[in-house]
Amino acid sequence: MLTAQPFLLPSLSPSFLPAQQPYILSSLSLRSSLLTAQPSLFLSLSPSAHSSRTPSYSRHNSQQLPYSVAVTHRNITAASRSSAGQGCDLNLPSPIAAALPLLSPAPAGDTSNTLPIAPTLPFVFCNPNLLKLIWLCFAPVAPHINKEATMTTMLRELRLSLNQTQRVRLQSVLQSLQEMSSLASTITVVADTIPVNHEDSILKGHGTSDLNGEVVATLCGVVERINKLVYVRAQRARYKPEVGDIIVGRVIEIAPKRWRLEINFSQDAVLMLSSMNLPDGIQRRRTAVDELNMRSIFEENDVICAEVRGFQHDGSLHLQARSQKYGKLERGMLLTVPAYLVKRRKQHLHHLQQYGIDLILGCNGFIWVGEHVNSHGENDSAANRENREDTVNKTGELQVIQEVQEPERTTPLEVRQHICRVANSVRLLSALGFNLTVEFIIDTVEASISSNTDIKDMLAAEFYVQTAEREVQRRVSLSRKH
Amino acid sequence: MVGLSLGEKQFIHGGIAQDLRTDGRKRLHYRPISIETGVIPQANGSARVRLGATDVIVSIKAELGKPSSLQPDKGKVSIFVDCSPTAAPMFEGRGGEELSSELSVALQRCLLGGKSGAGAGIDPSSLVIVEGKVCWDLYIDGLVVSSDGNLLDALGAAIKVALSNTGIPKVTVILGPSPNDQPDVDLSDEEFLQFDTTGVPVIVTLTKVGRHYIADATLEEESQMSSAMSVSLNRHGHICGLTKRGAAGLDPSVVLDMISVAQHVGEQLMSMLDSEIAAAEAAATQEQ
Repeated sequence: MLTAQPFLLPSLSPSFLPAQQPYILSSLSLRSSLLTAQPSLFLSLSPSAHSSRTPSYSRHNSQQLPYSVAVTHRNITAASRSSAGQGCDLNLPSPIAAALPLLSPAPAGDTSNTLPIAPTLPFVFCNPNLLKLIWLCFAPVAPHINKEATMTTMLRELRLSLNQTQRVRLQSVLQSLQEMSSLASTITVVADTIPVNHEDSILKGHGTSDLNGEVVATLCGVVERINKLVYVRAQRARYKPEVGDIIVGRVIEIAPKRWRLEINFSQDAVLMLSSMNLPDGIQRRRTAVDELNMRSIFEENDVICAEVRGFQHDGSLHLQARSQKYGKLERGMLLTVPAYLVKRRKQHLHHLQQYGIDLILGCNGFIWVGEHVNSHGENDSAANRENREDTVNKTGELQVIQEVQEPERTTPLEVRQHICRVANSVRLLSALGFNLTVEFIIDTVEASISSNTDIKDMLAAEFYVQTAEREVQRRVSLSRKH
Repeated sequence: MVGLSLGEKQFIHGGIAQDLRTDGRKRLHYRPISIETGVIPQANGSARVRLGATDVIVSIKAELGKPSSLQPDKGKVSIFVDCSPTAAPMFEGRGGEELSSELSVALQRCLLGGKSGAGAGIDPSSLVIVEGKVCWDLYIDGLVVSSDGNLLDALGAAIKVALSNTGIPKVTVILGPSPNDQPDVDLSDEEFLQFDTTGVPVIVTLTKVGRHYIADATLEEESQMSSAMSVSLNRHGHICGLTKRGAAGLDPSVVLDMISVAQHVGEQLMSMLDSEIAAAEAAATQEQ
């Protein structure tokens, strides 16, 4: 079953949108068997004036598009040949043809007629792996193209049903966001040639490959140049850990002298027993008894905040949780967002005082929202010990000293409401594709409180559109200041 | 299904006790439901229902067949659910079989009534063409595409909507010369009979977590349940079927209380589904 769903990637983060030509990339929602059997894909556009060479597509989409779909044959087949070794014939149904225009960047103001002529071919040869790379592609909005399609794709994460006015508003929001961003000509699609001065000796970095003497992109993303290095940075990539990142993970296994955590990465991270403070706070050598009591520190399925200490030889992460601010997270909830929405900042552990909430934005895409807990430390445990001694002395009798353990008290309703609001705003922003920053999250929460939106309505269509509009206004006012 | 830490579990329990779940809903509030009809054009009727992140597709096919000798005046209806591996990796191969059979049996009980056919939500007598010789076999197939809890409710709603979308071709019967011959049946390509779905029940699942019940549990909340009860209610508020899951026992008074709460919740769900069905029908007639 081949259904084409035009697919707007979270391209709304300010670092990314191109200023000019809008595009849409359709993703073919193929079933897995179909993927292995029949790889398929095409890209790039040429103006409909030249559509004589691709009659089948222009026939179908002439009403909707000023462009018809074509292919830069040379690059695609060459790239696919080099990566796949064989091409595959393709007959694509018309809705895919209609919904898949992909422009090469053109100067601003040129809409339909002055696009460069590309040699066109009705078929594309591709390989499923390459297809997956292209699926990762960004997709700004094409206003000419089927607006319905854009709406449904943007809402893929959140499954909203918008009425007509909301659709129109969202469309205008997307357009203005798209116009505001700056990275125009640096965006590449797979098999685009990267403009390079051939006289200089250029180092070809990640995401590039050499093809007939030309440097060709193998990823969809932004071209970065640093001195002699040219590479393509993918926009939507898996979490790339760096030393010093603060991450949130879940314990999946207790191994000899270490805990294994799952952190939304290709491999599990390791937290050594020696990288963790002991409960009594004393700095000493870990003994066999400590190793047997590991479960009293962290159990399976516990959520932990830690910092990346380094990499192991096989690429997996080494963590450390020695500071007081790291450790087990309780009384809250864990949310998962795509990792590229959390950018590296100075501070990741936030204490929102006005709400009494701890918000931890893990770089790996795990976000913890919970009630605020004062970090327990050596001071506290020392004070407790003193207190216990005092009670014994005062009463003069040996009291049965019970462990100073608070009874499980439930989170008060007010704090819980704030936690739910923050969680919903995180879900909303990740569905909209905006970068997650504390200020943005707090703004959204404040807006929801001031507009008297019910907590569950924060995930509804109306608030969704309002948040997008507000962000557009904020960016417009920011750009006016500069 | 990812495990939950003790702190997270307590958070969920506390939220349900305080009538504020993790996504801000009240205990008896459903997630937004989105419904599409006619997603499978080759089938006689189909529907796709999305309840939050739970996604199910139901397709209905009608084929000519012979009625069973025990009930010659009734057609046959069979319900089967399949859990796709896209929903969870553990469903690959035979992993999803247990869940599939559990869902199928629960749906059969809720919608098809007892062995004699009494109390069925779908009336099989309307499916007979020639008594004893030819009848319609209705195959209702459900596919779970993505699972985030509350599959039974979603499947029940999808079956109801798919039935409203079903068109059974009109039949002209040419009887043979002697009464023992198999009659010739001519299917018309144009005219279709629509199913009457006013009698089809909806299913409401109440999950008991701690001391309170919640409707429309997510997967996390379901992992914390002690027991769950699915009540299938028709338009008049009568119970068409009852299924209990979960390891914990329930006091009979609790069972009666859950049924009355389910009746209250079921009314709202039923009216919402009816309006969606009407909207889908209106859109379909507009397109034509």
